[in-house]
Amino acid sequence: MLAVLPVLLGVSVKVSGVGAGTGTGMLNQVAGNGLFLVFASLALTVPLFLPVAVGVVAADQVAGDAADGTLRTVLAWPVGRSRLLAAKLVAAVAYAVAATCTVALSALATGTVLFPMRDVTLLSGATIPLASAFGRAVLIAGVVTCCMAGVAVLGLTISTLTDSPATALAGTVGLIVTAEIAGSIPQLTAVQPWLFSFDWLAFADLLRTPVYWGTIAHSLWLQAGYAIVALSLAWARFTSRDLAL
Amino acid sequence: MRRRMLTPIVAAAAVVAVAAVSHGLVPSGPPRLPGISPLSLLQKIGKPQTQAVSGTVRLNVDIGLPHLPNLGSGGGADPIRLLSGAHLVRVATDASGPQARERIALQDTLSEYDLFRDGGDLWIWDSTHQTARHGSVDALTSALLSFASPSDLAKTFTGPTALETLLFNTAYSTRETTRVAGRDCYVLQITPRSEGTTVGSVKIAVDAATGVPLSVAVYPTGSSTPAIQAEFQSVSFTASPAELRFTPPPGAKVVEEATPDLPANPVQGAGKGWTAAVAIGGVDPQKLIAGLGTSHGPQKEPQGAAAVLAALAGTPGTPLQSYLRMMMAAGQKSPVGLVWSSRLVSLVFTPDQRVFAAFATPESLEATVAAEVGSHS
Repeated sequence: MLAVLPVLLGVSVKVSGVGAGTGTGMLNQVAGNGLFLVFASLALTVPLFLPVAVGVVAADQVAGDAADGTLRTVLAWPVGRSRLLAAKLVAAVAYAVAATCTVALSALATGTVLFPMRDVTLLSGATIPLASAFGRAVLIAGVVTCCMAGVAVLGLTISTLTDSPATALAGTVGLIVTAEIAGSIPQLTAVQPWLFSFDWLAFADLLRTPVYWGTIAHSLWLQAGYAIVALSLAWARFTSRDLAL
Repeated sequence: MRRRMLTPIVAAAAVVAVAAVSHGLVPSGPPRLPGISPLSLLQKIGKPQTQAVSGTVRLNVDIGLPHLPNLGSGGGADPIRLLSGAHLVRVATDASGPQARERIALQDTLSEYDLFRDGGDLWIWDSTHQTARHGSVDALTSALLSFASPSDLAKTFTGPTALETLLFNTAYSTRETTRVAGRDCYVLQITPRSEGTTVGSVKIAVDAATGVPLSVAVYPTGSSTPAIQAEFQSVSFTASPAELRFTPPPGAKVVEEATPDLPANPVQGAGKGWTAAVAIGGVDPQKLIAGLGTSHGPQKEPQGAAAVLAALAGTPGTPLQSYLRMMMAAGQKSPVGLVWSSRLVSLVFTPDQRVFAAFATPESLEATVAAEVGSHS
């Protein structure tokens, strides 16, 4: 599904002929340069689709096992709970990496097939060679991956708080949607910079001259802060919880 | 169980503490600087010790307008958005060459609006519409962009013209110091001593080493929150030549702007002192608003859910257009024209397509406009 979306986007741009000055923003540039399909696909999926996909998988990590009854079996192994949690974390984060890469690579493949690849015009109007544009695309995928890894950690934490996968899933998706809604209410501007979803689109700053690192740095520190708190909560909960299943 | 649950609480407290300290929420005390008289500080601003400045400015505008909508096809960086809300603006200037060069870039989410000036040569770049405009910029855009740069904004209050007309009804003070973007600054506090102005005070933070204004905050009368605040987040006293150069990218639409069909200098002053008005000619609010929707090709009729929403709102067009129409509708009719006022700025739209703007109460501005119109007829 994640791989299909960029293809769908690319084909619809190709068919409808958006880009002859009628559309606006990044989609406008896709028809002229296939690499922009990578940026446009990420910009389109980052606000909701990608975090929900990552969050759903992460939320199932512990709660799913608990519901299936497999968690007790797993805990009977001679492996410490902390190590088990670490393994679950690696799995959730790995999925976040894979999900982001899937979108980016699928968009890259579609873009290469359907549209010309040439030097990239940045948001600031400067043009950079295709090779260094690839470098920026990799950096962008990296920044998005970090943001999505943050979502995976939050999902995993919620997963340790409940035995029901449905509750964990609803909690995670609810958290993402709530953060997104709070981020769009003008009266909440004082709180917004501290929402984990606030700077998800900061990766676009990599497409400026000079690159503005301020927002990206804030975004990454924010993810780290949330991850530390969430992980400590997950660890405290998971290592101390009584599994009377 | 209980002991374990302390870990996340401690972790949360530590993270919040680190965030608070790193973001300056905990005051670190003003820097100690040798004393300076207001006159010396004004001279320092007039003769900066550096030719080049570049950095990122955070601009907060709250002159009493509701926040502009940021949804739908009307999105993208646009100078008209500077009328309200928080913005990041990249500023770079270099006066060391034969011609002064300047770049002002409004950096919005996923889009950018740039002004490049190289002596008399001017380019406007709009990433949303992939359009480069060459030759001229309308007075309104120029005025809006000048608010985004602390140096330009400071000139409004400390430039030679401002000093000439303001000196005798203004109190200047340099008692405070502060830190902006990691630099030690003197604070020049300017307090008007005249009736009819909406400006309570202006605080300008001036870099102690170079004399470059790094932060400007304009406080309305009786308010402790600034209506306009432009402050460098990061600043360096160099500017890369590559950043100041602009050539239209391949594939972009290039528009050669004809010399505007306006008087040679569309911006004129009226009145004197703090209540002085700026008049911009050739502004027809209705045309201006309509132009926002049509300048980028024919506007499509909204369909589906968008059509229902448009019908409900009763104001077709982009959210920005509807917003500006709403703003205009809030204006008061008076003998001199349509008067509109906020907590800092008053505007009068006269029938001869001029707009007068001033940091003055609506009554004071009406009097200024009446005198101005009267003297010419």
